[in-house]
Amino acid sequence: MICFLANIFFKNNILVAVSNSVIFCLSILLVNKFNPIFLPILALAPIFSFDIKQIQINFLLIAFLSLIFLVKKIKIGKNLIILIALGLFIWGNLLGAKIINWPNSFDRSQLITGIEPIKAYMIQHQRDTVFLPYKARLLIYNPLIYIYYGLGNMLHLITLGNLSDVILLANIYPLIMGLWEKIKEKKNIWFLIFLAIGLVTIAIDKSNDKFNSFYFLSPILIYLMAKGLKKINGKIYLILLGITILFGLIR
Amino acid sequence: MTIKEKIFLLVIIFLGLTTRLVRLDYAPPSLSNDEISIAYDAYSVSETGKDEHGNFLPISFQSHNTYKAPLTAYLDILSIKIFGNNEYGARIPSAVLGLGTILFLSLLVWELTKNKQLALLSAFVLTVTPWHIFTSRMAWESNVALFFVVLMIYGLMKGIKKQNNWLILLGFVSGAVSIYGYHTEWVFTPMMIMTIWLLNKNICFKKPVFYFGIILFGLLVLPVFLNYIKHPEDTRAGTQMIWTDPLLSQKLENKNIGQKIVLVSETLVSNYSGYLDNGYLFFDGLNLLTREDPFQVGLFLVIFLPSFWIGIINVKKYFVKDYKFIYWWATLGPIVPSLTRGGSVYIRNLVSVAPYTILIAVGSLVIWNWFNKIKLGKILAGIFVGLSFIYFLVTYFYHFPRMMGENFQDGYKQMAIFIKENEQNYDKIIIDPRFGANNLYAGVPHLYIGYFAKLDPKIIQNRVYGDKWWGFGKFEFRDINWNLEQIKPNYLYVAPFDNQPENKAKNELITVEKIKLLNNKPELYLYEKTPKLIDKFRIIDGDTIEATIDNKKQSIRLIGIDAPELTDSSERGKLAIASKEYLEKLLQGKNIRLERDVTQDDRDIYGRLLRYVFLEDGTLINEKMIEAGMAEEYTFEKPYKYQEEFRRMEKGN
Repeated sequence: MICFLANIFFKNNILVAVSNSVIFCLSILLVNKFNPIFLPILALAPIFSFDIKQIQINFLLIAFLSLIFLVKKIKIGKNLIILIALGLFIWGNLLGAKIINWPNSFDRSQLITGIEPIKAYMIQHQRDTVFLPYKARLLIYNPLIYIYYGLGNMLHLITLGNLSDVILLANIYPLIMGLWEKIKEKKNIWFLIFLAIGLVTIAIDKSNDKFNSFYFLSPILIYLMAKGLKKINGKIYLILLGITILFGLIR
Repeated sequence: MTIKEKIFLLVIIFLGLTTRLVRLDYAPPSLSNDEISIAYDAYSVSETGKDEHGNFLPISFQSHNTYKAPLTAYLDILSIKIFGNNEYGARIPSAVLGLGTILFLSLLVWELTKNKQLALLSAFVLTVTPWHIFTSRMAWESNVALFFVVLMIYGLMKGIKKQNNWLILLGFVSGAVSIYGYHTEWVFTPMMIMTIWLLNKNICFKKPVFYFGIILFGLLVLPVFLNYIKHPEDTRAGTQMIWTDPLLSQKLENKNIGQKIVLVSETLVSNYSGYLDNGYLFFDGLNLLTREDPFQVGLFLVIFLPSFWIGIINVKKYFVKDYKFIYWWATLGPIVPSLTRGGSVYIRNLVSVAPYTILIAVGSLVIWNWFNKIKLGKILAGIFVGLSFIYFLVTYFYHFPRMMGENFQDGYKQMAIFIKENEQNYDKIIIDPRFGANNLYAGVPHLYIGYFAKLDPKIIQNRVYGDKWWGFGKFEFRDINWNLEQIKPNYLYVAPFDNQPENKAKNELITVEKIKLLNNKPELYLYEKTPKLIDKFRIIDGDTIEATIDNKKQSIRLIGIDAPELTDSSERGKLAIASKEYLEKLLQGKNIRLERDVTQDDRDIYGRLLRYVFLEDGTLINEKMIEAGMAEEYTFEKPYKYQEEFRRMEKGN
């Protein structure tokens, strides 16, 4: 309800408000146990009242979450459902990053490989590093630079400031605690796969708009935050929350 | 120490010395505008007791209104006296103190952990850290101040543990000195002292030496703060804080106090977040290359990214009693720089290099111990660190000087040296201080001239200002508009490559010197008025003529050639006559233009003007004489401008 009202407050249309609220609820339900007291605060995270302007993505995300929910409930056919969910997840991430335009039109210019200066500098360095034999220059200055560039690109997005804008400053605390808890768990291969897909999409996307980039990762964010709420120091969280709300009101 | 540890230590010492001290005149490619300001002020104070602006023994150096902390300039006085007015004179103190930082950080880690491996690893990580190498090789206040911060922490922490009052006092004195080093330390140093005090309150509150130390610290830094109180607008603190940023100031207009606090806090959080950005720390923060170049280097070697995070988690394991201090040190570092405008500026956050190094060292040691069962892991780790470091060295020592010369105002030193050698030939020297494409940037060429040409600082202190120009002595600094410029004889004009003479000025000027960057891109051109055409002259012999210049007869000796003397006997005498006749034939009915060679004296020992002779069509007569075999190539003392061409011509004959 809070999530829905927040969407209305930010003037999103009814369909977006409903779909964001459903996404939030489904994400929460994936967490085995959570502390319900602080849940309303998570619902206020800006990412859950963000209009990505492509309602198809909202539906894809709901479909993805529904499949994950289904996997937890059924006993047969799990692998097939996970594969379908994986496909939806990849598709949704690429749509969110505008690397694919609906439904499946691939836009290469959105990738970091479409950044012309990178190739130009690679050739320039291959030409200019005259003190090295040419073959040695090719070992250093080659297309692997896109991996290096992509990693830097990804890390530039995952910063304290950007996370604060997306999920609120106070919620970074349970997010970190939830991530730490998840890392300590032994059975988390699928979680890591989904996280890796999201991060790779961020890495290869040259535009790096934080809300678009994080939107399809929002279930993972809410999952970690809800998990982390079990482990946080309530007083510290309330202080951080108080500061966040105060700033919001004053603004 | 084991043999392996001793070898590791030797490697660290070797790497430290070579990366901090070798070729300080080459990389970075030139003294930057901040460095030249510090170096020049050091020179000026050493000669006159006053800085560039005539302030006597200043506590804050006005510079070019960037108000620098004083310590680096005062340290440079000694190094300039020893090494001279050059890059070494300016940069040696920072380089040596950079090495000192490595030593004391390592000693600090040893003191807090008694873990030799960790202490050596900390030294190693800092030794190979691009951030620290870069800042140690420049005359930067932040690097000088960093040494005193680390020394302060070492003194205080060891003093507390060993109950040694002298070390505690050393810590306080060192902290006070750091305040004179850089502005970040004005807030950071007291924060660190407070942190150490509170974390060790059981000891500190009971020891009188701490109270004495605080008083001593306060007394030592009093001059700095009195100066700030007297002239708040004349300090960096008054010009660089985020609330002086025009964009933020605009947002703050018409807002109530609460909203102002929120806006400033949001900017602070955003800036702080920028300093923790792992992409900036490990991938591209050092900005060694042009902005769009993807082959950037981070502040730390990229291979240490996992070590950083593993270190954060494992600090408590090694710093059993002092892990909270390490966390606080790492947390407090970026606070003060976050209060300044201009985004993430790694110079301002240099205080963070030490705690981050410790975190990386901890993480690296954890990984190294994981590999105890997998020898191949250790070998691979060593190879990856080595490759990472070599990549940085190639980027820093090869590409960086070539690509970023313009950012370091490369070219001004060469200009200053040219002026030093030729100043006496000119009545006035006009310098357009702009540089870069479209003349976007404003440089400080006067400081390079003052420093490298060792001008009397009193001349610069007595500068005069006019409408859109300023100057001292025969130097005038202003933008040159060639369309309006009245070209005068015996004037030297210095202009950026993107402001070349046009129209009438183009015909009136000749280029006497072209200054290029290391990548052969032109940077500065030096011009003087094209000499007038001469129609009244007579030939004396094959290498001498007499011309009427400004109604005065002048004897002209042709540069770079030597013809037989008419007084020579037999064969050489015959050749002398032939040589003279050939020269007469070349110049019959023609007008000539004389060109000076700035590498040679204006006149020879006989009072003859030393010149090249050109016809109106650009034919160089000196060369023609060699080509015809009528004269030999001749170098008097120094190589001259066309020496290579003349020698080639003679060889061809």
